[in-house]
Formats: sequence, C-alpha cells, structure tokens
Amino acid sequence: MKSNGIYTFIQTHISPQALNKYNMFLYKLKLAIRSLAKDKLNSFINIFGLAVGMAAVILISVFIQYELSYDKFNSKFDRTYRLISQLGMETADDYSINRRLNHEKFKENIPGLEEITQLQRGWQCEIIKENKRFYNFTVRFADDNFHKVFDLDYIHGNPNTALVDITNIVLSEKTAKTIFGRTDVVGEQLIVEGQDCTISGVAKNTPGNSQFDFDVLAPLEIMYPIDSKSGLEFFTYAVVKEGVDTEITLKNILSEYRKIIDGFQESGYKTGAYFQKLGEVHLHSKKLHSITPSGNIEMVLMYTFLAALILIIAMINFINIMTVQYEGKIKEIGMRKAIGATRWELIKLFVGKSILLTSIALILGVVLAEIFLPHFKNLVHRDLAMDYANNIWLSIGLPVLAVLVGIISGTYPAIFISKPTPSAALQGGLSKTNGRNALTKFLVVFQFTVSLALISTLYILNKQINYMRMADLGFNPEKVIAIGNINSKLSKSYYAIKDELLKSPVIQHVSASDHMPGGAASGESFSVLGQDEDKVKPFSSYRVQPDYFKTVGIELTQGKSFKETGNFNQKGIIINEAGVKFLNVDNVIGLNVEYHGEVQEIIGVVKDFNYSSLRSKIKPLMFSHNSFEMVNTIIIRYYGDNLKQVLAETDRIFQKFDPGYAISYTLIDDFCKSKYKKEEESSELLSYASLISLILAILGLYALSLFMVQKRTKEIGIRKVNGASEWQITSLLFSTFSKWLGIAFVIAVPISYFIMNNWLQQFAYHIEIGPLPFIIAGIVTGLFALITVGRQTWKAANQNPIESLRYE
Amino acid sequence: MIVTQDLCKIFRTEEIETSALNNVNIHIKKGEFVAIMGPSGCGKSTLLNIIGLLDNPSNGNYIFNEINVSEKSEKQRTKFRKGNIGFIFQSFNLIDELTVFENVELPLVYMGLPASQRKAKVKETLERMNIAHRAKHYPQQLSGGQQQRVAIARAVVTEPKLILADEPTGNLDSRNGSEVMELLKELNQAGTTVIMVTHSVRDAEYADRVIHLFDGQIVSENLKDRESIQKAVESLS
Repeated sequence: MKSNGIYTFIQTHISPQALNKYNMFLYKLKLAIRSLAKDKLNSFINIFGLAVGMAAVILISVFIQYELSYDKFNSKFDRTYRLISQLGMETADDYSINRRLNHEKFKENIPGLEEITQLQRGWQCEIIKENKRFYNFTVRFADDNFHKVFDLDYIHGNPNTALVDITNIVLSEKTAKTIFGRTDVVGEQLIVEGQDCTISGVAKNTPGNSQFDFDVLAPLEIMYPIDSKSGLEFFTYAVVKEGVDTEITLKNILSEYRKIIDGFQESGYKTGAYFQKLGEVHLHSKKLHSITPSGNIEMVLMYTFLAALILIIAMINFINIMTVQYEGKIKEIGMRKAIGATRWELIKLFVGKSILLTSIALILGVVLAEIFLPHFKNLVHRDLAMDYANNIWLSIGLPVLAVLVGIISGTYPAIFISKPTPSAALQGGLSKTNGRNALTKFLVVFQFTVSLALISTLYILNKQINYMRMADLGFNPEKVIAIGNINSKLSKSYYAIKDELLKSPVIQHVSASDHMPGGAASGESFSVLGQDEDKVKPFSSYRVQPDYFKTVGIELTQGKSFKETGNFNQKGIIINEAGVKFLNVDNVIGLNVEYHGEVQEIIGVVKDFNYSSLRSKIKPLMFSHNSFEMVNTIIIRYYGDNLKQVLAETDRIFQKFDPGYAISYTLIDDFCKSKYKKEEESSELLSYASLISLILAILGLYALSLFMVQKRTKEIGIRKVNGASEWQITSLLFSTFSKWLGIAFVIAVPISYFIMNNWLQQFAYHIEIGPLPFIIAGIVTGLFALITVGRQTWKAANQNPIESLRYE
Repeated sequence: MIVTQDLCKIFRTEEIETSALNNVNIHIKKGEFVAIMGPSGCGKSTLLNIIGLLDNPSNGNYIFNEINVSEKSEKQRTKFRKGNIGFIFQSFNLIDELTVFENVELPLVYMGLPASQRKAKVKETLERMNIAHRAKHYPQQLSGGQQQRVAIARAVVTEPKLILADEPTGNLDSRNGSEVMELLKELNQAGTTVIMVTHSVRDAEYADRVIHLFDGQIVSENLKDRESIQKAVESLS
C-alpha cells in the first residue's frame, strides 16, 4: 500500500521526462545487478579485491592525516618554534632538550618574542590521597607561562596563576577522575613524591595528536630554579609575535641562548643551537628526544607508498577481471551492436556497471576498515577515529575516488570490448590487439614483482629483528628483574632491604643502579691525570651499587669490582673494553682520573656488552659508585622459574620497609627485546601489506588464468587431438606464467636488495642478506601461482577436446 | 579395421536426454574411403568423434584394430590415437600463434620424435601438400584452401592408418574443395583408410561407400553412384 502511494506520488509530482529517466536508470541498475549475480565468482573476486584495497587505503589515509595533524590544535601553531641545542666533543649532536633559561629576561631583551617556555619530561610518580596510594602517574614540570604557548583547556582553576606557586599542581581530567572521581577538585591536597601539594587547576586531557601529555603538571621552578646551572634537560618553545620579522626574532633568541649554552665550550665542547618549526617536530625529529612517541616522515611515506601500491594492484585486477568477463560475452556485445547499440551506449553501460561495482566495493571497504580499525590502532599506536562527518577526505574524497576508479577501470575494457564490428563480435573473434597482450603481461609482471619484493623484504626484516632479539648482548638479561618505583623512604633503607632480600631462597643476587641494565646511560666525563689533563674524556655512564656485575651477568676481565661497604659513594671507576681502547693507555688499572672534581682510580675493566642497542657500536662506558645518596632502580637476579613467587617475596620484604607499597617491575630480558619494537611494528605492517598484495595478486592471477584458458580453449583442443597429454597441456600453460614470474624475479631482487641493504646500514650489527630471502619469496609466490593457475589449467587440460573445439 | 556393435551415445543435460546415436553397427575395412552423410543433428559428428577416440560411447562396443576401446580412459585413448589417427576439421583448427611448419610438427612433438627427424618429415609432407613455400607463415596469412592443406599435412605427417575428416570442404570454395578431395583420394589410394563426414553429394562421390544417418540410426549403406546418393539425401530431408 505504502509503495503504491509512493508510486502515485512519483507519477503525479514528477515530470514524465524525469520519470522516464528514472525508470531507465532503474532498468539499467536492474540489468547491471542481474549480470553481476550471474557471474558470482568473478563479481565476488572483483568486489572483494577492490574492497580490500579500499579498506587499506582508508585506514592508511586516516593514519597519515593523523600524523600530519600533530600539534595543530594549538592556536599559535604557525608561530611556535622548538629550540634545538647542539653539543658534542668532536661534532656537535642535536638535542631537543636545552639548558635552563629565564623566560622573563628573554622577553625583556627580545622585542619580537611573544613567549618562551620550558617543559621538563619528569617521571612516573606516586600520589597519596589520605593514605590511599596511586602509582604510575606521569608528572611533568612546566614554566608558569606554559599555557601561553600551548592551548591547555582548563576546566577548573585559573591558567594564569595555576603554576606560579611552587606547591601547586595541575591535574589532567583523567587523573582527577581516577583519584577523586570528579573534576572540581581545586584546593584539594595531595602528596606527590612525598611533597604536600595543592591542586590549583584541572585541565582537559591533551589530544592524542599532541607532542606532549601529562597526568600531573607541576611548576618547573620547584625542581629547577630559573637561574640554576643545568645540563641539557628542558624542552623549550618560543612563540614569535604576529607581524614581526620571524627570522630576525629567532636569530635574536638564538644569540641570547648561545650565551647560556656556550658555557660548555670551557670544557672543550662544541656548541650550537637552532629552531625547528612546531609543525616539523612530530615527523622530522628522528634522533631527538620526544615526550609522546614521535612519528617519522619516512614511515608516513612508506605507508602512503603501500596504500598507493595496494590501490594500484586492486585497480589492475579490476580492469583485468572486467575485461575477462566481457570477453566471455563478446557475442552478447555483438548482438547488442547488431540490434542498434552505439559504441557510446556500450561504453556507458560498462562504465555504469563498473561504477556500481566500485560503489559496492567502497561500502564493503568501509565496513572492513571499521572492523580492522581497533587492530590497526594498536599497530600504529595512535588513537585513530573515523569521523566521516568532519573528514572531507572520508565523506567526499573516497566516494569521488570510488567513482574515479570505476570510470578508469571501466573505460579501458569498455573501449577495448566495444571496438570489434558487430559481425566480428558475433563470430566471437576479438581483433588481434598486441597492445592488450603487452599490457596484460606488464600487469602480471608488475603484480609478481610487488609480491616478490614485499615477501623478500619482509623476510630480511624479520631475520634482522630475530638476530637482534637473539643476539648475545654480552650480559645475561634472563631471570633478572628491575624494580623502578623506588621512593625516597625505600631508597634510604636500600642496604637493609638488600640483606632481607638475600635471605630469600629464590633470590640469588641484589644490586641497584640509576640506570636500567641494557638501557640508556648518562653522559659523563673525566680527565686522565698526567695525560693532556685539560681535555675531558666523554663516557657513557652507569651509576651502580656493589654486586652489579654479578647480578646482571657482566664479566669482569681485569681488576676488581666495587666492595660491599654498606654505604653509598665509594671511590673507584670501572670501564668497559671499548673504554680501554678509547683511553689508549698501556696499563689502565690504577690510572688516576679527575671525576666530579675528585681524584679517582680506575679499578676494573669489564667485557663489552651491548648497553644501548645493536644499532650502534658499543661505545666507551664507565661505572661509578657515585649514587647521590639514593638508588633509582633495584635489580634482582632470581633462582628457578617461579617468577610469581619471586615477586611475592620481594613485595613482602618491601612492604616491611614501606607498608602499603606495591612494586612495579620490569623483566630485563623483555626490556632488551622491546628495543626493537619499531622494527617489529614495521615488520607487522609490512606483513599485512604483503598479505594483502599477495591476495590481490593471486586474485588477479586467477582472473588472468581464467582469461588465458578461455582464450586458448581451442588451442588446447587442437593440441589434445594431436596427441598432447594432460601434463603436457598443463605445463605448457603454466610455462607462460613461469616466464612472467622469472621476469618479475629479475626486477624484484635488485629493488628489494637495494632497499634492505640500505635499511640494514643503520644497524652497527646486522645480518648479511644472502640469496635465501629471494629464493623463499620466489618459492612462495611461485607456489601460490601454481595453485591458482594450476587448477584452471588442469581443468582445461582434462576437458574433452571435443568440448573445446565445439565452440567453433 | 573398425567395427561397432550397437553403439549408443546419449547426451544428458539437467532436464533432457538426447540420444545422438542409436544402435549403430558399422564395419569399415582397412583401405576403405567411407563418407558419412545425413542432415544436421543426425549424429554424424558424434559418430566420427567416437571412431576418432575423442569420445566414449554410452553403450555398445567399439573395436578398433581388433581391440575393444569403448571403455578406455582418456589417457589410454590418447595413447591409441597418437600416430594412428589424423584429424581434419571444417574450420581447419590451426593454432594461430604457431607457424605452418610448427603446426604440422605438433603431432610429431607429442610422439616424442627427435627434432632432426621431425624436420625431415614435416618438410617432406609440406612438399607433398604443395605448401612448403609457406612454411614460415602464420595461418592467418594463408587462404582457406592453403590452411586446409596445412591441416591435412598435419593429419598425415605421422603417416596414420586412419584419417577422419569432418566436413573438410565446408569452409572452402568449390575449386579449393575439389583440390582437398583429390588430396584425400590420393592418400586413400596410397593405403590410408579415410572416413569423412560431409553434406556435399559431390564430395561423397569420392568415397567407396556412403553411410546415411538419420536421427542417430543408419538408414542406408553401400551407396556409391551419384543418383542413389542423391535419392537417399532427398528421401531424408
């Protein structure tokens, strides 16, 4: 009834011409859908292939958009710059952290400077609220004018005064909700890292695409007074006033800052400084420190490249399958022409059908993208969302792309198929077009090349990752845990805790360090007495407690270790073998050096071990017992395999010294392996891309083998009548594909070799590529091709020759 | 050489069953030239395919060279066929991508002959068919008559005992047609058994004997002279 009503409505309200057009459209749509339904398999392959391609393009484009949007939420984005310091002995390296500066003084001296502010990375802290403890909040320290550079959205409190008083803190919305369950908490008291603090503001959580984040924001002044001498510690951002000469202003700021950093020149360092646009911070700061995980323009380009590749392959398939389908219907097309369809009408028909297909593929692609979005978010570590309404690319770009793909991929077969004269088409003969054959060959070779290159690349990537994970690091990270959340109370009782721990039957050794074993070291230096004394020797430094080498499993090759004395700060320096080489003296043991203004002796040498990552060669490293009266990380080597029991024991003992405390631990083995996360993520991404492109290539190959078999049906029949066996036919058909595979192999190997060899150069310790990755890629691709093509050809070869020849 | 006993062939689709051959009994001696005639759809080609071991009968026996081959597998049939039977089709069925020489060489390749022997044999056969000067051309570059001569060359290059021709003159003009028929007659006189399906009364005259099929059954045999052939054709159509 209802539909009847609509029909009447259409009839009475729409002009007959429009109605006619509408009916015609419906008629054509009906025919198009019917023809799709008739050729289910090919339609499915076609739609599915394109949908997979589209889904990949959607996900990747959302990611790329996100990467390019970093920090843009700041209203002064265009005028904000990040300061980079340069410092080093031989060459000055870039650091995104700087020395402490006085922002008021800078503003007074430089007229074009609107604001300059500093932020210190801070650490994980413990928060106590009325005896209730909360762990793992990130406290960062900022100048009181921080909000004048970055847009912090305060829900409660006054941004202008929030960070002025050094006992104040600002919480993020999330932190306030976790601790209090609400956000109107201004004026409430908390104990942060043992200090009494008053909450002066609550700000909205920073967006995911921000270069900084925080749980707690504390005044920088409390940790680092504004005129204190410091090392490189602070991220520094400057905003240039509107309408002034940016270049001159930045130059002035730099010359002001040079006054501070050039102080390092006294110790023989080279120094420098420059500015980086805020918009470049996220993607162009490869080796620089960052707060939130930084991106990488190469990664973005790689993603873009992969998306384009997948889309191209999907389109190639689309063109091929469309053509194959139409070639099977060449007689029908001849019939249409004979009845009076013009070439233009046929082209419209094909393009229309093609657009219908791409539209279905787009819808399916969106569904697939939605399904895989959560997984993809984990893969790239970005909080991506598909906001169709506010994203022009998604709401307009994609449909336009779909139509465009439809037109491009529909036009080619349409023009090609509608070319023959009606009589030629009716006889089923296609005009000899060598151009098409050449194109087909090119497309297959292209797809094979992509598959081969991706698979071999993936293999090499994984081999290197595995090599790094399994490499002998020169120490024994297994069965070692590090407890990082040591508060000042526990730190003071370290020796007593150690004694208690060692009483446990599951604990073998206990030590402590300011650094994570196998993790980043501090930069320190000393000068050798009696050997150009004015020149300091820069060393990486681990500040450790006695028993460190036993606990971590580092071999002492000369001299002795630190003695167990029960107090902090005993003298003596231990260096690694690389350090011995660096100092270049005959007898290193007993050598006197000046370190932190004191004369100390080198007491021991340890075997080289990999303390940073396999990306760089092992550099000179020194160990001192200079622990500033506190320990940062307690390290435990345990017996047996019962980690649970070890943790329970440890927790129990720690609680004795600080009731209510809960340990937060890291397995050193996991920690060392996690250093190659970036590579592992690239590898995972690449495996997905390879898988998708392989699936698409196989779908394409399937269509092509169908096409080839169809085209050669007659030939197969003739050959069989003349005595060819099934095997001879199958191998004949497959040899064509093998030839293409061979050509692709020759193209893919150098490409993949070149790219991966380049990539491997960033690792000081790396595998040799060798022939295996390419052999494996060849076998995998060949096998898949064999399965795909083999089925078709075997079927064709087994057909009764009479069936084949009957088509004549 | 060829004996069939109650040969039947039934084609089945999902809905209908068509009987193409119905209890066909024929006996062809070595060295005979036999024409099979009949209206479209009477089962001529089906019979030829079974005789040519391209197809199996649904029922009945087919004894080829004193061996019952009616229930042999495709593989075994291929083995029997190789070198023993040559085929000639109305539409020539040459492979477009291969040269004349390669087309004729094809059955020898599948027999596994060494290249030097193949070359000699192909050359000799092409000369016999008067087409040697076209050896390096592709089928599309030849006239219909020339293409059929290549097809015949391919059929006889293995020196088969039996040649099966399915309307060999169907796509040719009368001059080229009679040339082809003369060639077949020559081959027959040289000792090869020839079985030919044809619509043409004139072609049938070249045969020693004409078998008439109608609705899958033999209606007459042993017709030789033109008048009786004509009469039989008229009575059927």
